[in-house]
Amino acid sequence: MRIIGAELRKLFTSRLFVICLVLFLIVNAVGFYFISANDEMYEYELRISDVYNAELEKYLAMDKETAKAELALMQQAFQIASNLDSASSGKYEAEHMESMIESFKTESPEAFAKAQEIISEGFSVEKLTAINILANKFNHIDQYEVFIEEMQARADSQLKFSIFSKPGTFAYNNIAKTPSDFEHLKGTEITPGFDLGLNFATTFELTDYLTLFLVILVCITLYSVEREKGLTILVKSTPFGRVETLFAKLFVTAVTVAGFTVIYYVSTLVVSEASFGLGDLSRSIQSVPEFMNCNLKVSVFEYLCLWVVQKVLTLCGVSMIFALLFTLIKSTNITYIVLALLLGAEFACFNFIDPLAPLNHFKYINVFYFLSGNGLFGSYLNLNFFTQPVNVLWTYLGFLLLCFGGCTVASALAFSKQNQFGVKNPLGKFTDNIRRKIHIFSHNTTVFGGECFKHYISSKAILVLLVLLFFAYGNFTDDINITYSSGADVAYAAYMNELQGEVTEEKIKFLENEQAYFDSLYLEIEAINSDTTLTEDEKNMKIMAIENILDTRGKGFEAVMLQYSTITWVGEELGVTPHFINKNIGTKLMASSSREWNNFTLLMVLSVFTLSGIFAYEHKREMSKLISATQKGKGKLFFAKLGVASITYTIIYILLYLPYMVNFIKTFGTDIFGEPLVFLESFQGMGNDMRILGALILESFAHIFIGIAALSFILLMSEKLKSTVTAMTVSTAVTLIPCLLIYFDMDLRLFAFYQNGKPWMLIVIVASSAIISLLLLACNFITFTGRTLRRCKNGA
Amino acid sequence: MLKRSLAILLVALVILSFTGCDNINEVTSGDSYNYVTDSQMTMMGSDPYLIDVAKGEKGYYSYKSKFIYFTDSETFESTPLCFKPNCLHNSDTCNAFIGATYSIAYNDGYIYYNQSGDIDHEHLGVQFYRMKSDGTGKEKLWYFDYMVMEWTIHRGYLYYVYEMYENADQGVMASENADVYVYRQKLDEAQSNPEEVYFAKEVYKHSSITCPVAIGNNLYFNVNGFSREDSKLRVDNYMKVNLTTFEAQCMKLKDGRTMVYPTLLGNDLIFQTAKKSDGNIDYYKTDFNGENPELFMEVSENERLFTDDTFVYVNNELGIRMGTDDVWNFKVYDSELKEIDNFNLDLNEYRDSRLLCLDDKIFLFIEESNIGETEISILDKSELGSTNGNWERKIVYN
Repeated sequence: MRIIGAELRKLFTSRLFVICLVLFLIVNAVGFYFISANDEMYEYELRISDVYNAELEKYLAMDKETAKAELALMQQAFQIASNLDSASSGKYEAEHMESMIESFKTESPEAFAKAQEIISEGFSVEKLTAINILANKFNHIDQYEVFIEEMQARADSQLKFSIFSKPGTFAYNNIAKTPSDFEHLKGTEITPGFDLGLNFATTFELTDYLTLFLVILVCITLYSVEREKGLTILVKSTPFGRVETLFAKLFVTAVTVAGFTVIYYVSTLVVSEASFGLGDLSRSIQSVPEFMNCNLKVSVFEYLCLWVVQKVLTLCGVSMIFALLFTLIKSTNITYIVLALLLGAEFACFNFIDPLAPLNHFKYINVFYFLSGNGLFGSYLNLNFFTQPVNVLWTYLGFLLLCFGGCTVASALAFSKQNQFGVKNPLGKFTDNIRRKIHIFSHNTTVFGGECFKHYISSKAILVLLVLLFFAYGNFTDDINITYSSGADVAYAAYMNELQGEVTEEKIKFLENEQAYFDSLYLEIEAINSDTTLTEDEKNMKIMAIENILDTRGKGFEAVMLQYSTITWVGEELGVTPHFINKNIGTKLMASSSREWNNFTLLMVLSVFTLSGIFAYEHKREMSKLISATQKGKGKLFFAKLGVASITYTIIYILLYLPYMVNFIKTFGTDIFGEPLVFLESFQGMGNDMRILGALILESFAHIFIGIAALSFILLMSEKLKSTVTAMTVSTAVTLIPCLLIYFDMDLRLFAFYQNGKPWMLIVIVASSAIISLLLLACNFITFTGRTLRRCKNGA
Repeated sequence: MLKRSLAILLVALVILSFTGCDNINEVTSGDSYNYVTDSQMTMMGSDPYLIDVAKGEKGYYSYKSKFIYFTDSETFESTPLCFKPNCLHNSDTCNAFIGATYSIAYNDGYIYYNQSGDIDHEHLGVQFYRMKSDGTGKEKLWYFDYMVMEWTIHRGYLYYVYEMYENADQGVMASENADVYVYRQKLDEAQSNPEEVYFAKEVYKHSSITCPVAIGNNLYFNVNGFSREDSKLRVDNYMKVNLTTFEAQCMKLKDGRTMVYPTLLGNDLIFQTAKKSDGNIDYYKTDFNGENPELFMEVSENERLFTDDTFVYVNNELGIRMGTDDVWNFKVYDSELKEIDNFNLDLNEYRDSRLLCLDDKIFLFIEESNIGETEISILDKSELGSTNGNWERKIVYN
């Protein structure tokens, strides 16, 4: 018990783990609410949820047949009300309207009466939508009954087909087995409800990834940290030896993982219940249409319990696998690589293997499948094992047995039999030799030089920059040519090669000549049609040739003329000569939502990753107290660190943004930069004739200064929190979470300010970012230079 | 001793590898049609680009609205190609769901189909798939970063048309001018450098090769476009390429008329020719290799002729299309041109559907009903000779 207590204390005194635990819980809850509430597919249904629930309550109070009849009547009534509404607005002639009203009164008097009530209360689209959704849900009751009752009949019918009727094949065996697995569901009562909350909660994926990350963190804390510090070798001489220690670790791993898994997934359910409602938890799970294929006879509540248990068992099982890896492999770096490869392979198999592929076992006997929404308990699935259909639940049980049984035993053996000397760096001797031989690393240096060494060599920032160099090379050499999928697009591009730039008299004449040419083609078609000397086939062939030209070059010209009329109007509004701009190239340069987001997010990621340790470096190595005694003092050191950080930031920015720009110029030239942005499609609301180059420069400044503000924050955290990992975590939360949230709204991009006619906002952004940066840097300077000896971390 | 054994093994392997080559030769020869291994000829009313039915050993496969269906050749009942009794065949979790597909084909135990490239390829190009005849074992085969819409599978090879557009190296995927080729790719190999079967050097502007079909050891296809030398000169050829020597010849009669669109009748081929000055159209019969043409039948300008293995069908399809005829009439003959039936199909009922003919057993129709549901129906050819003028189709899947 004492060992277990000690292991628990180790885990929960790890600041990083605790911060992540709390932070991720908040991210999970907020992310779930935000993403689900903004789900475009269900946006309207969410908006009418109050109306829907009120109607649901009313119809649930009736017996099912009455409710269905009543709903059908209401749908008819709404249809009549809609027609009457249109009629009263003058859509129909008076005579027609009268006969329409008469026919409604005669054919469906009850519906007509209800329609009049609807009109008097006010035609409510929300109520109509709610009625329609409810009608579908009540129809589901019959549909499900038929689905279950006719399962055997469907199976018998399928077996009559020669393609499925050969005994011993998987198809035959699966058809034979399935009806019996659903037999017990006959007579299951279906109760309609509000299902969105349940669907959202059980399919929300972020929780899976967050908890998986926490599992890795738990394993690092319990298995890797001690070995790296060389403490594990002391364990062998203790009264309880190794195995007890390992079992204590495994127990703590399992309990902790189980604990936070329950908290996380239950919190998702709680947020869903509070925000959207989970509906009546006592109804059968099959009442939710998405769970029609679930063959468990359970209620919604019982299903949710199973669902949470599934997550707990899966993550605990995964933690046993990770524990085995950390125990077996002595080098932490290699363990991370193996972990990454393993998870990467699992992820790839889960996402890219087709459900019907010969090797679909790797898709379904897979950690990500076991963790995924409702795959395991929510849907019936058989896998093909030597033509025998084996339900996926059995493979899941096998997986758990392997994890809890096999991995546990293997971990125990590895931990007790093998030595636990850590191997920090497999290439350690080699790199040490090199370091000794290089003059610069073995002699005195300046403060700035020392900071460069600490940052680029000791903290390995140089590796990140080298990887980024490859990325930059990829961007530079990437083929960004526009691929045209139709002849019309090709023709448009050819026209733009001729017309791009200011609209001149010559260009206008060119357009007129082209228009005359296309007009003549239509006349030619008429002439061919009326030519009696040609056979039908000859006519068809000639006309087809002309139609080909109209389909390609003609459509391209139509696009040009449409653009011409738009830019002429814009030019008149602004009092500027119109310019033609190739809309495909212009949009690629100025309105690429994904590129802007990708580059900026990557800038944030790399800044956080490389710069979080700049000020924490000395604290980590407990050297802070030495600094104030130096000849140079702290102020100069602060600026040296700031200089190094600025250089790294600048390099990252250049490597992210510049290669694409150079590639663009290489591919498309520089002509477009001198064109006014307002003449590009979607930027017509700009309101001024700023050139594309100017707009790009302003936008770049905005990116740079926002990045500098973020950089200042990262550096401040690095100093305040005195720990690279902690600073990295907090900086990630503050910088990357907004990036992730912005990802979902494509309108939230800097170029949107141009589109909305507010380019001045970019200047505001630049100025405010500069002010924020200065404030944060000042705060950091004060903290760094004002710190005394007594505030050192371990007190000395 | 060991060295001797190894030497014998090596020689045996070499001999075996040559045996494999012989098998390939055997696959490409053979003077009779085998629907399992040969390019299947699906006769249909219109649009030759979309071939969405194929004949398998146990029945017919047809495609509609992203689902694949199977019609049993014994019972003529149809079902989605899905062996899950707990599936309602109305979502993408159904085994029969194959997504938006251009065309399907059956060959030697597998169903082949092509679709636009997947999300990894930004939905550009064309991806080929295949699955086993019972719908399992789905595999991705080849990806082409250009459109491959004209293709056929014949005796171990995929034959396809490739259009190399002018400025293709600059990312252009469509242009007035293109070099067009027919290539072939072995079915049992991963994607490799294809073999060039034919290059249409005679055309360049608005050039195309369409409707490839392989019969025996020959590949037939249309070549259309404007001449490479004179861009105002229209070229319309129907080519036959020998699949062993790749020798190409234009299918013309002695009087210069082009023979096109062969169909199979027993072990002979029936070709259509261009309209004559009197408006009528001649059909010529040749041997299995497309040689020794002799006049088979003459039809009027509104009519068209096609065959299955056994019967000859003359119908006024063109008159229906041009709007000059109100009734869709079929005359059915045997191979000796003895009339065995004459029936009408209800025009309104069939106007938007296509009559698909793969063999002498059934006509197959697959269409969407007014409420968007797929309906498969057949005309059972065993009733020919007793249709009494009006032939009622039987709905086999709804």
